[in-house]
Formats: sequence, C-alpha cells, structure tokens
Amino acid sequence: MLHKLGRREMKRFIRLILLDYKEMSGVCFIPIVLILALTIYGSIMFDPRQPVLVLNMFQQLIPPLASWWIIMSFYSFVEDESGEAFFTYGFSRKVIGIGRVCVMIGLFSMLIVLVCTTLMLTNKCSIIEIINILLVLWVQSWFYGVIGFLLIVVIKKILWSFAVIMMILYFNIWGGLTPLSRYLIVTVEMQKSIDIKEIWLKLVSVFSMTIFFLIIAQVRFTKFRFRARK
Amino acid sequence: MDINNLNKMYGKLKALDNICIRDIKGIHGLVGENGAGKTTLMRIVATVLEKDSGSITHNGISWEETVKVRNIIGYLPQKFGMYHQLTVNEALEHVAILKRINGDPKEETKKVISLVNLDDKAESKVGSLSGGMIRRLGIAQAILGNPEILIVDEPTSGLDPEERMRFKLLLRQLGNRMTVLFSTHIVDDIEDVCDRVTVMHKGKVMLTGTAAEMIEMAQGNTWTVSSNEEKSGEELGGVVTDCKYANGMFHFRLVSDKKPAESAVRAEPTLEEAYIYLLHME
Amino acid sequence: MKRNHKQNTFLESIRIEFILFVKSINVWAFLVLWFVVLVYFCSLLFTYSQFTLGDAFISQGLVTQALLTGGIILGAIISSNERKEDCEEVFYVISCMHFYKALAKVVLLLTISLFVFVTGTLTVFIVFHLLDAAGAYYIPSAAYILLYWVVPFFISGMMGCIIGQAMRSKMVYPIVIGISVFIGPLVPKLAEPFMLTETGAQYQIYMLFNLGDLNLHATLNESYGYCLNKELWIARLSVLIGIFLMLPVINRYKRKDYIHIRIIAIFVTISLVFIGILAANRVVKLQNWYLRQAELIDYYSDNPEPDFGESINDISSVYEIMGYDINIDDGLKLNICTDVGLDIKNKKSPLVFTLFHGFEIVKCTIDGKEEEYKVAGDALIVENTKEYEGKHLLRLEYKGIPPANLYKASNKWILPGMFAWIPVEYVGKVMANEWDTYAMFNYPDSKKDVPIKVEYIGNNEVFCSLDEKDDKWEGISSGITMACGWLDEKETGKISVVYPSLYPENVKQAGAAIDGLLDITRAASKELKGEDKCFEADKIFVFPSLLHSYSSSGLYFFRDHIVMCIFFDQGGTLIESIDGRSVVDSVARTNEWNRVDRDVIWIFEYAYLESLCIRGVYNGEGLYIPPFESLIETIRDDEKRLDLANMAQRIHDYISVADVEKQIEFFRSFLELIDTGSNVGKITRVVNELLDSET
Repeated sequence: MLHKLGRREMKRFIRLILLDYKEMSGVCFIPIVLILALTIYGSIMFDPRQPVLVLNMFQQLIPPLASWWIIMSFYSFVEDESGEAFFTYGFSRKVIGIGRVCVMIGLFSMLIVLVCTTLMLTNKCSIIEIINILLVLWVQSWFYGVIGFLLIVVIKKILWSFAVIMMILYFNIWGGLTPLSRYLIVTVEMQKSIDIKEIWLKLVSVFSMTIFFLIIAQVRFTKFRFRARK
Repeated sequence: MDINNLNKMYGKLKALDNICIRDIKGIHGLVGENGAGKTTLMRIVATVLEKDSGSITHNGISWEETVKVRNIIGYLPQKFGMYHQLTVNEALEHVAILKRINGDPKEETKKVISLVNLDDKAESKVGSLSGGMIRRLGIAQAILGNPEILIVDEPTSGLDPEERMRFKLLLRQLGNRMTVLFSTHIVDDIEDVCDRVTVMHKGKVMLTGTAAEMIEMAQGNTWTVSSNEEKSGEELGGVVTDCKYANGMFHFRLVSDKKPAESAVRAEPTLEEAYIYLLHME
Repeated sequence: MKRNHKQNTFLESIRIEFILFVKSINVWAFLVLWFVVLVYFCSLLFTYSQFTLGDAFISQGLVTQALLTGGIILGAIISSNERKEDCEEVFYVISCMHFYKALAKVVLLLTISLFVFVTGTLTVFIVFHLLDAAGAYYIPSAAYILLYWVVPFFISGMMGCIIGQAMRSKMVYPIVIGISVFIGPLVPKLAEPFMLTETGAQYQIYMLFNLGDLNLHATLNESYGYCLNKELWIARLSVLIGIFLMLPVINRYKRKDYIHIRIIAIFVTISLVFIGILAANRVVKLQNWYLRQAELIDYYSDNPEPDFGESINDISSVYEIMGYDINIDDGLKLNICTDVGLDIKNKKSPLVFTLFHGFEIVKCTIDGKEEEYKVAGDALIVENTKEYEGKHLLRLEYKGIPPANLYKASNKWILPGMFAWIPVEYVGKVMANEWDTYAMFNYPDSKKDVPIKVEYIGNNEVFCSLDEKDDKWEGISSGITMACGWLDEKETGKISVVYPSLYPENVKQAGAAIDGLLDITRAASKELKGEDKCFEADKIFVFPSLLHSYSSSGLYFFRDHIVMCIFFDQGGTLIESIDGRSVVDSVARTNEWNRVDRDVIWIFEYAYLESLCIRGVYNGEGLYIPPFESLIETIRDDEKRLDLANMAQRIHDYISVADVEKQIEFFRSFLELIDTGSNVGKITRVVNELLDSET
C-alpha cells in the first residue's frame, strides 16, 4: 500500500512519521540510548570464544525495544483526544497502521545494523557471523514490534501493553524452557556462534507468525473506535 | 465577596496584575479574551491555586482559611469530567458524601438532578452523556450542599444554543440564592445573565460594572460606514465588528475613537462592541 | 458527628476506588498477569523434588519482577484516574479530599496485595500438599511470599501512585518501567552471565535496591532455610513507610499550606529510605561475603601460619585446657565470651590457640588482668607476660562471624564442634585447603574431654550438644556444637537427631542407620585407636550441604555427640546417605592420609568393615556396606595395580579365617602403616609380610 502512494503522498507520509517522532518528544530516544548502551557494553564484554553470553543478552534485550516506538506512536489514539483527527488527514487506516509499523521497525533495524557493525569492528567476528546475528535480531524485532502493535490496538492502554512486553521479556530470561522462550530465542551452544543453516526454519516460522499477528492487528485497527468524548 | 490587589505570577509571566473586584454578589461575570487570566482568577478563588499576594474575603472569611472556604464554595472547572463508569446518581452521591453535606445524600442528589434536568439520565453512565449533560452534571455536583459561592469557569463553551440557554436560565435561578462567579469569553452570556461584569485583559481588570455601564462607555465610539469595496479595520481606522453586503455596497460596523470616514455615522453600541472597544482602545 | 462524616468520607473514597477498579480493564489485565505468573510458578514447582521445593522460590526472580512491574503500572494507573477523567480539580477543592483519595488508593493497593498473598499462598500450599512436601515448608514459604512477592508489589504500587500523581508527561512511561526493572532482580540477573563484579561495589549497589532474592546462585540450604533476615523486613518496611509519607506531599497544586508538614514528611521519608538501605546493605554484605568465600584462599596466603618452631609440636607441655564456660549472644554479630580454664605448664612460653580469624578479640584477660595477645591468621597468641603458671582462668571476649557456610543471619548459624569457634589447642588453620577451596575443617586428631558450660543470650531456638540444665547447657566433651536455624530435634531410640526441618520422614526411618553408625564408630575407635569415641553420644547433628569437601567423610566424633556434614542426595535418604566406609574413615583418618594412595585407604576401610560384619560386631543393617570383592575386581582391572589387587585378595581371604585378636592386631598394624604416609609399594610389601607372618 505504500507503493500506491505517489511522490506527494510519500512526502506527506514521511512528514507523518516525523510528526510521530516529534510528538513522542524525549521518550523517542529511549530505544536509541538503551541500544547504544547495550552495544558498548556488549562490545566490551564480547568474547569470541564464548559469543553466546553477549548474543543471549542481545536477543533478550534488543528486540523488545522495537515495540517502544510503535506503542508510543499510538499515544494520541488511546490516551489523548487528538488521535481522532488523524483519520481526517487523508491517510488510509492501512497506512496509519501497517505503514507506520513497518517504517518504525525499518528505522529500528538501522539500530540493529549499528549494533552488529560495532560488534564486527570491535571484535573478531566474521561477516557471516554478523549477518547471522543481524538476521536473528531483525526477525525477533519484527515479532516484538508487531506484538506491540497488536497489544496497543487490542488493550488500548500504553502501560499494560508495555507490561505484556515486559512479561515476555521476563519469561525469556527466567523461563528458559517455556514454549515462548524456546520458540523465540535462538539457543546457541557455548563456544559456538549462530549458524543460520541450523535455525533458518525457526526464523521463518517466527516471521510467518509475525505476519499473521500483523494482519490481525491491522484488522483490529480498522475497527478501532475512539471512546466518545463529548 | 471582595477581591483586593490579587497578584499571580507564572514564572516571569504576570497572570494577574493587581486585580481588585469588590462587592461581588448575585451573578458576577468575568469576561476576557483567551489568556486574560480569567481561569487563573477562578482557580485562585476556588482555592485550587495560591495567590502570590492580595486578599479575598467573603462574609468575614479570609481565603487564608482554606478549609473554611472549601466548605462554602462549589466549583465547576473549565474542563470537567467524572468517572465514566459511574452512573449520574452514583457520581453525585459520591460527591455529596465527600462534601459531607447535611442531609441525606440520596435526597440531595435527587434535588440537584431535578434542578439541572437530568432526571431521565439519572441511571445512565457518565460516559454516555452528551457534552451539555456533562456540564449540567458539573453544575449539579457544584451546587450540592448549597454553597454560598458558586464558581463556574466557562460553562457554556462548546454547548449548542439550546444548552447554552438552559444553562443561563439555571445560573439565573442559582444567582437568586448564592453568589455566582462565572467566566466566559462569549459576551452575549454576560448580557443575559449577569448583574455585574468584570472585563479582564492581559491579567488586568479593565472595567467592573453593569452591562449598561459598559455600553455607556462605548457610546459615541461605534460607527457604521459604507463602502463599495471590502476594507480592513486598519484601512477604516478602527476595529470592524460587523460587515454586511447589500445592494452592491459593503456596510461596516466598527469601533473607533475618531470618525473613521466622512460618511461614517454614529451607531448605538452593543455590549460586544463595548467589550471590543474596551480591549482595543483603552 | 464530625468524626462520622470523616469516616464516611474515607469509606466512600475507598468504596469508589474499588468500584472504579473492578469496573475497569485494569482488574482484568492484572488478574491475567497474576494468573499467568502463578500458573507458571506452580508448574515449575512440579519439576522439583519434595526436598528441593525451596529452590523453586529462590531461583525464580520472575514472580518478583512480574509483580514489581504489575504493581508499579497499577499504581500509576489508579493514581491518575481523576486526571484522566478531568475531575481532579473538582475533588481537590473539597476539603482534605486529596488526602482521602490518596489513602483510598493505598487501601486498594493493600487489598490487591492481600489478594496476591492469599491466592499465591493458597495455590502454593495446594501444590505442596500434592507434592507431599515437608510440613516445615509451609509457614516459611508463606513468609517468603510475603517478603519477596507481596511487599515488593505493594512498594512498587505505592511508587507507581507517586509517579502517576507527580508526572503528567510521557516520560512517566520509561520512568515507570525503568524503576520496576531497577528495583527488581532483573538487572543482577542480566549482569550475572558476565560475573560482572559480583563482589564489587556496582553489583552491591544494585543489590541494595533489589527487592528480590539477593543471592542469585543460592540453592536452598536445608539447615538455614530461606533468607528472611529481619534486616530485609526492616528495609522494606522503612521504604514503604517513607513512600507512604510522600503521598500527601506529592501535589500538583503547590500550596503553602502545611508546608511544614511537607518538609517534615520529606525529611522523614529520606531518613527512612536511608535506614532501609542501611539494613539492606547488611544483608547484601553478608551475601557478598558468601560470594567471597574463595577469598579465604587469599586470606590464608596473605596471612600464612606463623612459624613457631619445634615448641608448637607439643602443646600439652605448655598448657592444658581444663574446661570452658561460654557465654554467647547472637546479635548483629556473634558475641562470645569464653572462660578457658588453663593449667599452664610452661610459664616462659606464650599460649598459642587456634581461633577462627573472623572473630575479633575485644578483650583478653588472665585471672581478670589484661593480657597481651597477638593474632596471626587463625593463631591466637596470648603472651603470658606475667609468666603465669599452674591453674588460671583465661577470659576471651570476641565478636564476629564464622565462615560463610556456617552463618547466614542472626538466627541462622552453625557452630560445629570441629570448628574452632572457641579457642582450642593450636592445630594450625581452622579450615583445610582442598582443591583450592577452604571447606574442610582442620580437626584435631585427638582432643581431651573437658567440662563445658554454655549460656545463650538471645531469642532464638538453639540446639546444643550438651545437656540442658536451668536455661544453660553443660556437660563433658571434647567439643561443643551449637546451631540455630531451620532445624528440629527428634528422638530415635536412644539417640536424638538434630536435623533440617525439611526431612522429618527421613529421620523417622533412620533408626537402624543410626544404630549402625554408632556400632561401627565405637568398634572402630576402640579396636583401631584404643579410644572410646562417642561412648556417651546421645545426639547427632545432621547438616547437609555444609561442606564442599571431596575427601572428608564429613563425620566428626565427640564424646557426647556426632556431627554429620554430608552431601545430601536430594530425593534420597538422609542419614543412610553415608556408608559404613565413611564412618571408618572418619574414625581413623589423620592428616597423613592425604599422602597415601586412595585405593590403599579404601582397601583398608572395606576390609575392616567386612571384618566387622564377619565377626558379627556389625550386622550390616542400616548403613550401606560396600562389597570388598567389587573393590578388588575394580583394582584388578588396572593391569598396573595387580600387586595391590593381590594384596587385597589376600586380606579378604585372611579375614575370613583369622581369629578376632589377630585380625584386630593386623588392622592396627595396617593403620599404623597408613599413618606414616608411605607409598603404595612399601605398604604392599609390608602388608604382605604381615600376612605372611600371620599365616
């Protein structure tokens, strides 16, 4: 649906995204700051003989941040009264929904690229290893981002949406053998790095599930109604 | 109620500058443009905000005695809402109990619901009420306990004409038994309702008096002018208050200290024109 | 009438808060969250054995973290109800309503916390019942739930209330989430894989604010139970009260009214939070101290044993200990005052004792007069400057904490008889080094039985090896064991067993094992050492998982009691988890054995046990007796050890036929040989010669 936008429409859409970030004000920097901190920390602690330690930390902490911008971008819909005007700006719900989600995850992906590039430059990781890490984080970020979208359009509460994301994070960290964690987290053996050949099926399955959730979320968003404020 | 030398600063911004309004009784209106300081004044009188200096008294009670003051006021803020999950009855009973009113909260609630004409909505949830009904609910909770002073901040903004009329009627009724201080930026409301009015502009009091006194002040400064082309206020030398087009000519009404054109004719000022004159010419 | 109004107002505020909560999505969101967490935790419990259920609690920070997040979010949401509904100002102008509303929200949070406590505890109890958990688990687990789940939830809820009140911007979201993460076990858990300065300052600072379990690596120590130190309760209570006082202070509409109350409230809050941090710091330090266990190695290498020369070899020529009179108080540290009755033989020599270096000497007197002393590692050197001779009374006052595995809190400690917590004849270091871990007790080979009296000043239930008389304990023994913790005492026939409360069933079944233990001990000590160990033993102290010793059997014998420090096989039995070989080992072992080949030692022990069985001294019931023949076969499998295997076979054949006296004589000689620390070749040769001479 993005490709259907002409150049002018594209400009308007970009302005919309910029407006979203401007509206978030200071909180839009939260994922950036945290990822930078994790990158620095991970680069220092990275041990090429035991990459699993840093990889696990990255898998657990970075993808959930993908949901931050997405959930916060719906602030005006769920916590404020100004969201109603959004639907009068001439964008379809698909653009406001999926369109924004995709763009924000795309922007988040750039942060992941930054993480991986830093890891590559500061440590003796091969390009193949880095690409593998990138793919894993990217797919997981999609998952979390879309889950964030689904949560906010269903629950319509920012804090509770974040609560669910945090719960998923906690289960990944503590409930190492729970189905969700097994499904989402790529387990890497000690002294080994991620091998795409072993996990490609898992990644495809997670990504497919993500697309499924995305469709459900968009359908839900299409039916989104504001609470009548008279 | 008397307000003397009231001052309030928000940082470097002087929101209220030496406000003096004496002998507030009956229905007293506060009118001014957005940012004039009306809401700040209302909130200080309602004890929501603290003044920097000055005094407010009513029947021997000073506004330093916050607890006593809160027992005698009812307040309807500019932005009013109530828990949307509760019914109108529940919400008002809740407020009635909190206010520790004398008498049975249920009975008092019924009375005020009748007074504001919300009987048929008594068991409806607050979340399902229209804007006007919410306002009426707001008034209802404010008058619970028969306060001596009722403070209503822009109660008619956003209401349709019928609701506005209803509201003004209600305020007139209430003005018979309590002091009502109400603010608005709709000048017509003043004319219909208020005994006296205070005009505020940039934190200062421009005038306190009756509507008639206000109009009197603008006598001789209201003009009608005709022109075959459309002109702005600057071109005409005043502030245009009305413009009609008829018979190929533009007919302007404007306020101005001096005769704006040779063809200008003095006109009887309306309250709104008096207000505009006060704001722009003084 | 006025009071009635106030009560009505307060009750009405509470009523509305409950209605609003129940009618909102928040109740469902919270219930779903709690339900998921509870189901997860209960399913986790089913993966543990009935003996290790406690590990499920202390290894799982998820419940605490989830409740912290849920609590703070709930608090932030319910405190911003009025603002969201645009009725904040309406209630503000009603006299004292701001305060009542805040209080009502606290009551709501408290009710939800109670709900969490009741449902959590009930559910866990049901699971305990299904898993046949020991009765000792129930109440402490409820206390654990209260301390680590419910109270943190309530605290975070109150914090959420304050943040929701104080903040209006979007920054409330990262702050709420950030705080819930920072005060929970998530940060230490994330840092854990990197062993990020676990004992360093940064880690300790995290732990100060951590409302979850403080020791990430802990498993439940059966003797001590959960970490429910009173300091943790104080810390949480202080913070709770502090936050509560802040609620009326946080006010959007700043007024000069009651500013003095606000200032006092802020000051008191800061003080209370500071007290809470100090209290938590004590526990964090203790936990940190556990983690620094390895630093005992550094300590002993930095503080080597002093070289006392030849004189130290015969302590009895310098002094003799005649008895002890001990006074012990378990306050913040253990405060001990010991009167040691001495018979000083050599007035020119200093009196050297072994006393654990963790105890700091406060006072040292002989016959009431101050005496100079020095501390060098675990050696306490009393100078005897006044050249006392004959019978005198040495009084030592000292305070401190024993090694990490012997002390967990002021109500959880073990002072076993083989650990020098009272000054004993000098034996070198208190702990022995084994594979770079100081976990084995350096236990003197022989100690004299002396009269001992103990008085305990404290409020805890304490178990002591001596007999109780008029609120004191006294008796005659070569060592005294005291313990306080998650322990119980049970009579099994002639002997009573002090054991971790979690294992009552094990103790019930342990009668035969105990009898076997005593039979072997008495026989071995008499026949091999000419001693009568534990001839009056009427108490056994069982401390599972106390040691990380790989070679020590963990059995220590005193005249009147036995201390068992055993690796407990979780799911197995308690006392029966030791075998007869360990008993013989504990009776006979000396420090020289460390130099002897392990197979030789085992041959000796297996053979002796078989001898006891054949001779009918021990009937083989109760304790496990490993078959000697299996050992012979195992040794024979190694071609390089054929000589040793043949020797073992000869011994096996010998004990089947030889008479009792000769067998005892043989084993004594064998033992003497081992005690010399000889190598395999020499021992094989000499034993064969012995056997040749016998036959």
